[in-house]
Amino acid sequence: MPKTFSPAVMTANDLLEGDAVWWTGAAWSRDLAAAQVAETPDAVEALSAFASSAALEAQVVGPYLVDVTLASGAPFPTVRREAIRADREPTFAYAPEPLEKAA
Amino acid sequence: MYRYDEFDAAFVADRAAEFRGQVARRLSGSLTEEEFRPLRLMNGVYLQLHAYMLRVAIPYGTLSGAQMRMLAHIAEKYDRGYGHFTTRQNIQFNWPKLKDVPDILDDLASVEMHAIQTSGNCIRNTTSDPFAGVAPDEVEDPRMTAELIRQWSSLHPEFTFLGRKFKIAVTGAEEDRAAIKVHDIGIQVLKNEAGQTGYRVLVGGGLGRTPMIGKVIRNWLPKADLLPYLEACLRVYNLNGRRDNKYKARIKILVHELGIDEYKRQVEEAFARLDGETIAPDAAEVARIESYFAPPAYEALADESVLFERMKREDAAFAAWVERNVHAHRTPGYAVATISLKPVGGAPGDATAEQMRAMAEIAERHSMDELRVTHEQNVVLPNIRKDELYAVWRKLAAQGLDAANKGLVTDIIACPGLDYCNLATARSIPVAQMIAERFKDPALQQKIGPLSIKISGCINACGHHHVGHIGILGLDKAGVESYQITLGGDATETAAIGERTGPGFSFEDVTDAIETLVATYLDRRLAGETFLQCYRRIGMAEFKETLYAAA
Repeated sequence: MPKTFSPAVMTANDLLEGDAVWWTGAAWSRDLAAAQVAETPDAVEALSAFASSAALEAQVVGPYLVDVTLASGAPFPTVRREAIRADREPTFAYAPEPLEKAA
Repeated sequence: MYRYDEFDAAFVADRAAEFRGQVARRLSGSLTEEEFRPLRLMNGVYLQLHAYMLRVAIPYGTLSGAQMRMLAHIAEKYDRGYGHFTTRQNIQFNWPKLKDVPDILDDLASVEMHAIQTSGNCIRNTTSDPFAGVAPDEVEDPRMTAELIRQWSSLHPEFTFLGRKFKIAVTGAEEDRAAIKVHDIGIQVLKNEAGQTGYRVLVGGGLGRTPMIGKVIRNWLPKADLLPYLEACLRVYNLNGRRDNKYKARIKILVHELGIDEYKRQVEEAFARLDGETIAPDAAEVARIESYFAPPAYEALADESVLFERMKREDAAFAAWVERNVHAHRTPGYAVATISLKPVGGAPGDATAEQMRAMAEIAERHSMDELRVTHEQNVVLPNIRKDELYAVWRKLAAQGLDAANKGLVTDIIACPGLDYCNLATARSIPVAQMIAERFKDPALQQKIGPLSIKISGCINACGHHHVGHIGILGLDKAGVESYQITLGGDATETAAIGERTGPGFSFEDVTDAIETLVATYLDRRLAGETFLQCYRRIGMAEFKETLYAAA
């Protein structure tokens, strides 16, 4: 059975800082909500080709595409691993100096 | 403790400087990520889900107060205020920035530390007994052997690009606290009938997706032959181990496929051909290393401390901690204490910078400036006067480091799992936290007695689940976390690989499953029988029956 189509976003880790980042269409953001969503098979193919372009190497490590659902309006990953990445922290209280997130 | 000579210091400083250059070239674009990746891994820098991770070597798990303070400094200055002690006696920092790593390596080098041999397909940091040098049942301090192996293996030109990583553990005691039977090579220091010190050597143990117990290749190896013999073992593996499939590339697969007899034949042949004298260290170097592990200047004390005995009577919480976390020392009047990094509600193996500083201060004042990291993700104070134990315990308690649970159901070993790790298929730490919360009542823990639960978040088994009395393996089943349970594993001298109970449990149900297993044990045990003894007596069937009865 062919895979059902799923919209996708492009993610990677920032080269200098290691943070999970998402491609907005113009830049890399630390906020998944700002990501550019490829909503058609053609758009996903174009984004996928872009993910493998060498030019990205200067800013990020290992770009790849992540399936998302738009059910809530904003993109949200369909797999737990990516949901944890999108949250940018472990799922439990982990540090005396946790990440300061923008409100 | 071992101290660097000029060669060690120059080697570590050079590597830090070299890595600074490599990072600069990656950032300037003259190295691609593909070129840079193996270089960063050789220096302990991984990329995880949220950030880079730096794994720092703690050779044979031994740390001074100054070194622990430096780890605290790094946690605070470059990370988020904590570090994670691992099942290989190392520490991981979970949030360093690549641009800061060269500075971190310089800071580490200033206290004779580094991140070399913590990654890649090389001979990794050699691990050892956390009670080395102080255990009453010890033949010889195994760290002397571990340090020899470190010097031989660092930069060994023939073994820098092995087919896969290679882990060696050394114990000097009959009771195996270093899990030598589940290492690529396990070494036990022992004495023969003539009173000479030598080694028993095991090969082909390991966990991961194909768990195996190591097999004895030599029941007796004269001390002077150690490095030539290891060289022969590694050479046969390096030449004949599989490189076509990463999952079949560890030495355990080679030993399994050839059979121990044929592998041994090839090793003995290679060993006979080696010019052992050019490989074995010279006597002066051995003496230099040994001198660093000479016992510290213990005071001549009565074995019994009046103050210690009185405080045990007067303070039940202290007595409970002593009962679980304090161990016999070979020197009269001294004791060994385990600092549990497993408080209920915490993440197994994590310590804050403040806690690290407190441990450093206690080690300096009360433990002859030594600390040990254990493969069970705890920290050991090896040299405490019994009459200072109460004061030490009070200081630990002030930092939340007084959990009296060493070896009990809440002393859970867990890998970082899907909360941090790129390879993980399921979360581990939250599972450990749920189980610890369920069993948090100290009286219940005491009633259950010795029980090791080990949790891995993927098949690679960093949480050593195969050798937990109860092992938990987190997998991904069509996007849902599923936890497989094994019973009867054992990491000690009576090592065994746990047996699967059957179908896995959901994240929500796994704690209930563990509770059912424990209840079955409590119901079926004979007087004085531990969980493992009970399992070995009655077998899987009854556990399985109660476990799946409700399903």
